[in-house]
Order: sequence, then C-alpha cells, then structure tokens
Amino acid sequence: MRKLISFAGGLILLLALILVWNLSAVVVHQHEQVVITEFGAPVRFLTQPGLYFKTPFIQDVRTFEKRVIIYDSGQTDAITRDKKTLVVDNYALYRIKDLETFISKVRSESERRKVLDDIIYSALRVEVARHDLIDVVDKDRETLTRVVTETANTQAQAYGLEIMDVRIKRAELPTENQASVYERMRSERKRQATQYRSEGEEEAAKIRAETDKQRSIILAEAYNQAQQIRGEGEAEATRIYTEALSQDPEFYAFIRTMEAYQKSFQPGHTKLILTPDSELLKYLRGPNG
Amino acid sequence: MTDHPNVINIPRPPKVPGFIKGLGGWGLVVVLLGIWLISGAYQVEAGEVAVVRRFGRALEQPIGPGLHWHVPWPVERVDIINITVQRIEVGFRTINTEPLDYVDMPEESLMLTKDENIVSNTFTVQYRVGDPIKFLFNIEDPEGTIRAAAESAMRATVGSRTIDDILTTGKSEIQLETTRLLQDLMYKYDSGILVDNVLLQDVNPPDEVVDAFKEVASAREEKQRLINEAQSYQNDVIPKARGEAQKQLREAEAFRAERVERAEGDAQRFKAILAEYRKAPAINRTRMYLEVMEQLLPGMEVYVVDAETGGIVPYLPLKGGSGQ
Repeated sequence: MRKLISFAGGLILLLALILVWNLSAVVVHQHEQVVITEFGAPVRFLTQPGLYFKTPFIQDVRTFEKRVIIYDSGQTDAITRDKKTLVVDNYALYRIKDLETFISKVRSESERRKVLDDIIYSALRVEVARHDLIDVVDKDRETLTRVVTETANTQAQAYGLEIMDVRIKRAELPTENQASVYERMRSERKRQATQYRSEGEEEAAKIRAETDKQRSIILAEAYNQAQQIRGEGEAEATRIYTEALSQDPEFYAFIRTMEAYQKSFQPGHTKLILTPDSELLKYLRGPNG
Repeated sequence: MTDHPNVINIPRPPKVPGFIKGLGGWGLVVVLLGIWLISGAYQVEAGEVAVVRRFGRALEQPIGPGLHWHVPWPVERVDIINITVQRIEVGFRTINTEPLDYVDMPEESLMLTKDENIVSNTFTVQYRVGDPIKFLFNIEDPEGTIRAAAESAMRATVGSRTIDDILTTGKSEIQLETTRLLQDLMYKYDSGILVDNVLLQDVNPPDEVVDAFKEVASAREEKQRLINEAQSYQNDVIPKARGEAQKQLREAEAFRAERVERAEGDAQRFKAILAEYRKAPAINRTRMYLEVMEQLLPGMEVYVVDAETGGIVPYLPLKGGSGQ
C-alpha cells in the first residue's frame, strides 16, 4: 500500500513540476522576441534568447518574429515620368526593430500589412514618377531601389519597423500594352529580314557583274595576245620566204606557176587554145622546129 | 498445500512480477527518466548538419553527421537542416521527371529588355546553406527570399541588355552577372545562403513574335545563300575563261610554229631545187615545163587558132588520151 502511495506521489510530483514550468518558464528562442504583459499591458521586453521566468496567471507572453521577414506585396501600377504605365511587383525585407513601439502602433497582422503597403507603395510611386520607363528598367534601377528603401525605412521607423530593402521583382508593361510591343517587335524584325535579303541580292549582283567584267577582260587580252603571236608567225614565215625566194624570183615564179597549173586544171574541164607557133607545137612542125 | 477437508481454498490475487513490485513508485520514475533521456538521441545524415539550441540560444558550432545526443526538453532542442545543393526553378515548373515534362509560367518568364522589347527567359538557381545558424535565425523564409531576389537579379541583368544581345551572344555573361548580383543580395541580407549557379534554360522571343524572329534568321541565311551562289558562279566562270584564253594562246602558238615550219620547209625545198637547177638552167627549165604539160595535156581539149586570120579558123582539135 505504501508503495502505491509513493508511486502515485512520485507521479503527481512530476506533473506538478511540469505544470509549474509551463506557467512560469519563458524560453525565448534565437528567432523570437517576446513581450511579457501584465493584464494586457507590456511590462518587459525580452529580445535576447535564453531562459526567463514570469509570474504565472498574472503575466502573459506574446511572441514576435525577430528575423527578417519578406513581404511580397502584389502588383501595383505606377506611372513613369514619360506617362507610361508600369506594372510593378516588388518585395520588401523588413523586421521588427523596436518591439515596444511596434506593439503600441500596430495591433494586428492585417494592420501591419496595411502599414507596409502604404509606406512602400507611396515611396515606390513617387520614385517611379521621377524616371522614364526605360530608365526604370535599366539605368536607374539601382538608384530607384536605394531611394525607395531609404524613404520607406524612414517612415517605417515610426512604427518600430526597419525596412532593409525594397526591390523590384518584376516591372512589366500592362497586358494591353504588351500587344502593341509585340507588334512593334514583329515589324522591327520584318524590316531586318527585308534588309538582309536586299543586302544579299546587292552583294550577289556585284559579284556577278565583277565576274562578267573579269571574263571579258581575260578573253580580250587573250585574243590580243593570240593575234600578236599569229602575226609573228606570219612575219617570220614571210621573212623566210623572202630570204629564200629572192635568190631567184623569176625561177620561183616559174615553178610555182607550174605547180599552180598542176593543181588547178581539172582533167576533162579545161580547154587550151594554142597558136600554131606555140613552143609546145614546135617539134610538130619538124625535127628541128 | 495438501487438500485438507477443513481448509477452504481462497483464490489468490494475480502474481505481480517480482522486480517491479520491488521497485514500486521509484521504478516508474526510473522508466520515465529513461524515456526522457532517450528522447535526446538524434541522427545527422551525410549532407546534413544539426543546430542545437539551449534554452532558445543557438550553440555556435553546428554538429556534423553521426549519432548524437542533446539534453532533452525543455533544455535543448535540435534543428537538422540539409546543406546539399538545392534547386529552384523560375519561369517554369517540372511536373514530371519520367518522362521529362514541365509547365511554363509566363508571368515569371516574360521580361522587359533595355530596348523595350519582351523576352521569355527561364532559368534555375542552385544554392546551398553556407552558414546554418544564419540560415535558421536571420531570415524567416529563406527559400522565398532567395526566389524573390533571384527574379529581381535576373530582371535587372536582362533589363540592362538589348534583346539581340540576350538572344545571341550574351548568355554566359547573363548567367555570371545574375549569379553575382544574387550572391551580393544574399550577403547583404546575411542569409547564410551560398549561390552556386544561375543557369539559363530557354531564352526565346515570346511565342507571339517567334515567327518574326525566325524569319530574320532565315533571311540572314538567304543572304548568305545568294552570296554563295554568286561566288560559285564566279568560281565557275573565271577558270573557264582562263582556260579558253589559254586555248586561244596555244592555238596561236601552234599556228605560228606551223607557219614558220612550213615556210622553212618550203624555203629549203626551193633552195635545193634552185641549187640543182642552176647547174644547167636551160635544160632543167625545159624539162620541168614539159613534165608538167605532159601531165596536163591529156586532160585538156586543145585548140589551135591562127592569130593572124582571127575568128573561127579551121583547127585541129588535139584531144588527149581521153579517147574521143
């Protein structure tokens, strides 16, 4: 029986210890910051991790995030200096810097979101309106980010918040404008395509014309040279003939004419008319002519 | 016990095992203590680290792989995190690995370029935890933060380039620049995240204008083709012309050689005949004349006409051996 009582007693002791612990021990984790409230009013702020104690029942614990929180607000329209509409999707990194101020100014999660939206969007809109659209996209992106962050952060201090970075995640044209951008892209590409084709044709025509011209030149030069060579041949032949035949021009005339007779008089087609005193008939008249 | 007629047998209460009975309430305490102690055991796999918090405060040194033990609740607790390479997808989501299939997310992939054009850009980011304590206790949502920062970094990089640059030569630069920007942001946020890589997947003109872009590419090829055709015309015509030129020259040279040779031949022949002729000119001349006439006369009709009388005069047609 005693054993039973000691058994039960041990169990009760254990449970009591656990209960006391739960009611009075406060463990603040590394990623948390805690406010201890007494009947709703804040009495102690615990921002360093560790083990603390509170009065049970009377004091209550409210836990808040100590880490940097990313706030991805939705899209918003912003008008640039050159009156174009940009659809901006940004994110912000913030944290609760001053817990005391924060809980006095911001009562709920939705209120927190509203505060952030107001601060961030107004800073963003003001800054976007100071730049042209292409600068927002390219040149002034960093500057814009820095200024918006600084502006938003300054305003956020009043709420116990620190805004560390406001950064544009997406900056796009509204869908209505996208269609006209696509149209412009298409016509731009079409122009490029036409240009390539006509460049190709021009280049090809040049090459062909150059080729034809070259061919004419080559052939003309060859003709020229060939004629010279032939002329040389003729000249040389004439010189040889002259040198040989001038030794006895009359004899040459004789044998050459004989050859000509041989070649040109066709048998059966030639009539020869002689006078009776022709040399050829000489010995017909008598043995001594 | 022997069965005695006067002894009534009362049923015994069930036997409690001896050792627990012996231990009593303290036995239970010991058992509970044992369970409590065992709850402090944990295992860290390869590619993981554990971070221990003691009463909420993180201990400086993360614990590597192996079987370990921490002081159980409420004193210490353990977070085990993966430190291998993680991957996030932007502009698309893989919905199946076998077979490989994915879905496009145009709201993430369409981006404005420096020259106010729109390009479709999908990419992945590979990162890992570099500092586990910072990773756990500095940023509330590290994965969400790196995703947002990645989109921001990529759009900044794309926004500083023209669409032609992006589609053609700039791809590796874009990857490097975005990786650098993203890593700078991760340092700035003290996130404990290391960015290994940003890898571009598909960079294309948006679907609506893809055809127009393709047309530029094929026009460029067309230009090259026209030029190539003209050049092969050139490569065909010029050598042929040169060949023709050479042929003409050769023919002329052949003509020249032939002409000279023939002249030489004729001259030599003449000189030879002349030399012989000169030994007895009158005789040779007569002989030559008669030889030729002898050959010719048979084929001729010979008429003898008296020049003094004129007109048609009685004549003797002397026909040759033609037999009339």
